[in-house]
Amino acid sequence: MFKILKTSLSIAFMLVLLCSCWDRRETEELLLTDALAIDIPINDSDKYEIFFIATKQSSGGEQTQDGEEGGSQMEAQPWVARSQGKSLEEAINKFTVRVPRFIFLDDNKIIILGEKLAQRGVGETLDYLLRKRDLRLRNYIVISNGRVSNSLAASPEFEDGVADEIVAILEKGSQEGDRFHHKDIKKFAEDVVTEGQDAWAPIIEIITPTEVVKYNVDKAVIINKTALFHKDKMVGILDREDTKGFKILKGLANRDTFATEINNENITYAYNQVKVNRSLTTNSDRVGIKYDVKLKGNIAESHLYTDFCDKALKDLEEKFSKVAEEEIKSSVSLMQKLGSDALGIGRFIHAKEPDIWKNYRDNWDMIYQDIDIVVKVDAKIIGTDFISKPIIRKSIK
Amino acid sequence: MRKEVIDGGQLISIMFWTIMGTAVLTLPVLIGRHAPRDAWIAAVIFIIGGLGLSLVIGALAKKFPEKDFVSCVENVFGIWIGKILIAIFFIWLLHTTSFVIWQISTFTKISLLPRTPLLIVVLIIIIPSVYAVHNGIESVARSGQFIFLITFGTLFVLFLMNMPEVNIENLQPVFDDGFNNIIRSSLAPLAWAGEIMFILFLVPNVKQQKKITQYSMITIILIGIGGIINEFFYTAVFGPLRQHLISPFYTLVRYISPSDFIGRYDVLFVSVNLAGNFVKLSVFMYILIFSFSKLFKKQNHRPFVLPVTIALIILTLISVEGSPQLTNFLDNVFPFYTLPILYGLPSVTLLVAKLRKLK
Amino acid sequence: MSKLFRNNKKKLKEIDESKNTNMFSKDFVENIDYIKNKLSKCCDVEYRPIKIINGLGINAYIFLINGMVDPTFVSENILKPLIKFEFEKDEVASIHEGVYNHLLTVGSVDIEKDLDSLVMKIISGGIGILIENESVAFSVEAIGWKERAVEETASETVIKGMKAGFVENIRTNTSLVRRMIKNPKLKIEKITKGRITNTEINIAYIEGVVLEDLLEEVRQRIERVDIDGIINLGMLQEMIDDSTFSLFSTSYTTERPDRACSCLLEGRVVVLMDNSPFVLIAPSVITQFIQSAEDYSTKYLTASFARILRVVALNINLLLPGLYVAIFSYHHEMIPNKLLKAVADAREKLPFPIFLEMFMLVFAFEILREAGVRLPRAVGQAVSIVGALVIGQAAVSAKLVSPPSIIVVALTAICSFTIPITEATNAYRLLTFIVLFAGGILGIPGIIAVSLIILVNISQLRSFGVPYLSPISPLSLSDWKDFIIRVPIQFMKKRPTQTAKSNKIRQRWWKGSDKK
Repeated sequence: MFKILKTSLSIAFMLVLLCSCWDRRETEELLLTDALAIDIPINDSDKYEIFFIATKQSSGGEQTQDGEEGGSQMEAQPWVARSQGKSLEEAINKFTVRVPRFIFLDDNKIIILGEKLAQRGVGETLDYLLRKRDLRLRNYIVISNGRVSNSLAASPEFEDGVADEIVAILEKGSQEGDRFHHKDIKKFAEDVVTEGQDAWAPIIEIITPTEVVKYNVDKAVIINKTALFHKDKMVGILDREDTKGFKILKGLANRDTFATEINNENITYAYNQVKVNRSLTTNSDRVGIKYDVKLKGNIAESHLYTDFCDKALKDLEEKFSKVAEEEIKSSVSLMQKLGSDALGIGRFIHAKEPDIWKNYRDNWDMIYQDIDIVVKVDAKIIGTDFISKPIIRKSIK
Repeated sequence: MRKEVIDGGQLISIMFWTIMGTAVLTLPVLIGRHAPRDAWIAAVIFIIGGLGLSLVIGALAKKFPEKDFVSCVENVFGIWIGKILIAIFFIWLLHTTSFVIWQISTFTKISLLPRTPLLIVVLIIIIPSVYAVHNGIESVARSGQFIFLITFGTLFVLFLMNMPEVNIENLQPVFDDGFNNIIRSSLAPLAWAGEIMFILFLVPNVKQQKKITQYSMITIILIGIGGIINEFFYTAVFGPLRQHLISPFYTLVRYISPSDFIGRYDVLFVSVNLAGNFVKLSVFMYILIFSFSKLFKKQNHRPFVLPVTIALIILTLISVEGSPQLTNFLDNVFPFYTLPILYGLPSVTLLVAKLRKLK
Repeated sequence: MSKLFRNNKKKLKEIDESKNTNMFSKDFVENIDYIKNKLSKCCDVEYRPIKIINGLGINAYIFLINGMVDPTFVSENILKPLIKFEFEKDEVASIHEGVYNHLLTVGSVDIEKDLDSLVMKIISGGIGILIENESVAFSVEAIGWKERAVEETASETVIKGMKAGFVENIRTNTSLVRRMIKNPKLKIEKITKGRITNTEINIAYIEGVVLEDLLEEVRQRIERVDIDGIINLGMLQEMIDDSTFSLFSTSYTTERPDRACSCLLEGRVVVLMDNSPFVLIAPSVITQFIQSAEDYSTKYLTASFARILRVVALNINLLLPGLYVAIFSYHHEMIPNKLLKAVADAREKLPFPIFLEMFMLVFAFEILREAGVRLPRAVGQAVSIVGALVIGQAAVSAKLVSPPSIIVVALTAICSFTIPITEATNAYRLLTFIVLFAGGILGIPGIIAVSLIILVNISQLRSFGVPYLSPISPLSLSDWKDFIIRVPIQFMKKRPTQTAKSNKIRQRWWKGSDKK
C-alpha cells in the first residue's frame, strides 16, 4: 500500500510538473502601463473611452561604436493608445486584440478621469477599478481639466512620460512651497462611500510654460486646483487660493505662505507646522463645528523693518491670523455653497454624536449648506529668519 | 508502532493555523456583511465562545486522557450510537475539508496563477499535506511549529506596516451597527472557533494532558487577538469601503507601501497564507483520515490516506459552484449546522459521561 | 532465483569458515606451516627463523609485514633482546613466560593462543613471534607505516582556532581527542567491522554526559552492519543513518578535532574509523548547518552576525534561482517598476525563456564546480577563469543570456560556499534544482509546495532518536542560545536538551569579576 501511495503521489507530482506553464509571461512580453485615462467619448454610441499610457523603451538606432557603453542607446518613447466601449471591461478587451503584448496593470500609477465623466458620476468606474484585481489601490486619482485627451497631449518636461510627470509632481515636486497632496483610489473611494463625507481630487491642467525661456515644450502639466464631489458627481472646483484653505482644514498642508500688506509693503508669512483641532459646538439645538487652527512659521520675506519687539510680533501674528482666517473661510463657504462636504463634517458628527446624526442623516445635504462652521486661526511666528535686520529698512510709524 | 508525541507548543502552533488559515481569508468578508464598523466585536465574541469550548475540551481530556475522541464517544454513548455520531462528524468534516481546499486553491489561483486549471492548484496545495499526513501527526506538528514561528512574525509585521494608514475615527461610533447585526456577524467566527475541538482527537498524543485546557485557551486567545487586530486594522484603514472589497486581507496587504521601492507584499502574504493553510489542511486531513480509520477499528491510518485524498479532490471539484455561492453558503447556512456539531458534540459527550459517571 | 541465493550463502560460509578458531598444535613446524600457508602469495610478508636466548639457542620464528612495521623498532626492541639477552632458567616456569617477562622490551605484547588471531595481528601491523615447544605465541604491536602528518584541515578551514585536522591513523585521531579531553570518563570503545577488511571502528563518548539510549542506539546500529568491507566513512555513515530516503543526512562528518570534542562535551557520540581523516558525529540536528568551529573563537557579536549571514546565504542558495525565475516569469507585480523595466530591457531579443536560461547557467555552474574538484589545483584555477569570465562574458555579449541571470547564478554559487558542512552543501545542490524546476513550472505556489515537502521530509527525520528539527520543533528556547545567534559563552550554561538530558549543567553560575 505504501508503495502504491508513494508511486502514485510521485506520478501525480510529475504530472503537475510535466504540464505546461499556463501563467508564464516573459518580462519582454508585458506592456507596462503607467496610466489609465477614462473619459466619455465624443460620439455618444459608447459609454466609455479609455486611454492606455505607457513608455516604450526602444533601442534608438545603431549600436554605438565607442564600446564604452557596450550596448545600444535606450530611448524612452511615450505611447498612448485609445479604445472605447459600452463598458470599461469591453473597452479594455477590445484593446487586447490590437497589441501584441500582455497588458500589465500592476505597475499602473495613476488614473486620470475626464471632467465630463466626473460630472456624470464616477461611481460605476470606481467600482470597476476597485474590483479589477491587477490594479493597485495605490493608484492616484486625478481629474483632468476638460477632456482627458487634451491633458495627455502635454509633453513631459523632466520624466519619460506624462504619467510619470504627473506622479513626480504629486510625489516629489511638491515637497517645498505650494504642496499639493495626492489622493489614491482607496482614499477617494472611501470618501465616496462614507456617509457624511464627500470626495475630492486634484485637477491637472495644461498650461503653456512661460517661465522657461528656452525650451521646446509648449504644453506643461500643472496641479494646483481641487475638484469637489458630492456623492459620486463632481460639483465644483476650488481654485488655487481656496485649495490652500481646504488643505489646512484637512490637515494635509505642510508648508505654504500667506502674503499681506502693511503700509503698502509686502510681508509674507510662511507656516511650516499646522495643527487642526475640530470640535462640535451645540447651542440652542443647532449643531455647529469649530476649527481651531494653529499655524507655526516665520516671516519669509519683508521689506519692513521693525525691531521685532514682542508687541510688534504680536501685531504681525494677529494680522497673519486674520488673513489666513479669511482665506480659509472663503473656501469653506464655497464648499458649503457647492454642497460638497469634502471636510467630512457629517462623518465627524456621526462619529462623535451618533444620536444627533440620526436626525440629520436623511436631509444632511440641506443641513450642511447652512451649518455653522467657525474657523479660528492662531498664527505664531517662531522662525529665526528675521532676528537680524533686513537690507532695506523702512520702519513702521 | 511507536506512539507519536506532540508537545504543547506544537499543539498551539498547529491549532493556531488550523483556525486562522481560512479565517484570515473569509471571515472579514462574512463579518463585514453584517457589521463593518464593529467588526472587532465579533472577534471578541469569538474568544468568548472559544474559551467556553476550551473548558469542555479540558474536562473531557481530563476524564479520558488516554482516549481519542472517537473511542471516547463510543465509550460514552455505546458503540452504535457513537459510531453514528462519529459518522455525522466525519461527513461534516469531509464536506468542510472539501470547501476549505476549494477556498485556498481558489484564492491562490486568483491571486497568483489566474490561468492555471483549478485541479493543478488543488494538487499543489494538497500534495504537501498528504505527505505530512502520511508521515503522521508528529511530522504535521513539527512542520506546523516551524511554519508558525516563521509566519507569526511575518503576519504581525505585515499588520504593523499599515500603521501610517490607520484612521481611528473609522471605528467610531462604537456599536453603530446595532446589536442584532453584531451578533449575526459573530456566528461565522464562532463556527470557526469550534474547530478548536479537533484537539480532542489528538489528546492521546499530547505530552502533558493536564494542560490541554490551557493550550486550547492560549490558542483561542492568540487567534482572537490576531482577529481583533486584523479587524481593527481593516476597518481603520478602509472604513466603510471594506463592505465593497473582495478578499480583504489580501487587499490590505496589497495596499502596504512604506517606501517607494519595496512596496509589494502581496506575494509574501499569499506565501504565508499557503504555508499556514498547509498546516490547516494537514490537520483537517489527519483528523479526517484518523476518524475514518478509527471508525473501522484500524490502528494504522496510512492505508486510508490515498482513498480519502482522491475522494477529497473529487469532492472539491464538484461541491462548490463558485465564489458567490460559497460565500452565501458560509454566511447563511454553514454556521447553523456547524455550531451544533462542533460545540454540541463535545458538550453532550461530557454531559452524558458525567451523568453515567464514567471514568 | 533460489539458486542464486544458495550460492551466496555458500560464499558467505567460505569466508566465515576462516573465522573458526585454530588452536596451536604441539608441532612447531606445523604451526609455522599453517601461518605460512595462510600468508602464502603475499610478497610483502617477511619471516625468518631465529635462535633466541643467548646460549640456549631455542628455535623461534618471526613474522612481520614489510612496510607496516618500524624496522629499527624491530631490530632494537625485539630481535636484539631476543637473540642477545638471557635469563636464569630456574626463575621462570616456562620459556615463554621468561621471554615475556625478561626479553621483550616493548609495551604492547599480547599472548596469542590461537593461530588465526595471530595471523590477524600480523596482517594488521604486528610482529608474530613463535617459540619452539610452546603452546602460545606473542604478537608485538610495532606499527610503523608511513603516514600523513597531522596538518591543517582541507575542508573546514578557519582563520582563528585550531589548525590540526584528523589524519588517517585512528590512533593519532584518538590521541588528538584524548589530548583535548584529559579525563578517564572519555571512553573509546572498539568495534571491528568488515568481514574482509577488518576495519577498526571506535565509538568515543563521555560517560555521564551521553545519554545511554543514544549510545546503545549507535552501538547497535554499528553492530548491525554486516558487510565485506568498509572503505570510507561515508559508507558507514550511510549504513547507520536514519535518512535513507532523504537528501539530508542525519549525521555529519568533521575533520576537526576541536569540533569533535565540543560535540562530545554536548553529549554526542563520535565515531572514528581507521583510515578515515573524518569522524562521524551523531546525532546531528539542523542547527549544525550554520555552526562553524570559528564561531567560538571570535567574539559573540561577530559570530552571531556570521550565523545570520549563513542563514541568509543558505536560503539564497536554495531559493534564489527558483524565486528569480518564478518572479520574473509569473509574478511581475512583485518587482518594483523600474527594476522590471530594466530587466525587460536587458532581456529584449534574448532567445531563451528565463527558466531555460537559468537552468543552463545553474547547470553550467555545477559542471564547473565538479570540474574544479576533480582537476589538479593548478588547472582548476584555469578552468574557473575560463568558466566564469570567458563563458559568462561571452554569453552575455553574444546575447544568449541576460546579465541579471549571471548575477543571480553567481550569487547563488558564492552563497553555497558559506555553508560550513559538506553534507548540507550536497543536499542543497540538488534541492536548488528542484526548487528551480518548481519555480519555473508553477511559480511561487510551486516553490512553496516544494519547500513544504522538504520541510515535512526534514520534520519526520530523527537522528538517532533526536528530532532533526529540534530546537525549532520541539521548541527548546535554551538551545536557541547557540543557534542563529550565539550568546556569550557565559550565558550558555546548559548542554543541548535533546542530547544531554541526564547531565544538563555545563557551566556553574558565573558570578562575574569580584573587583571592588
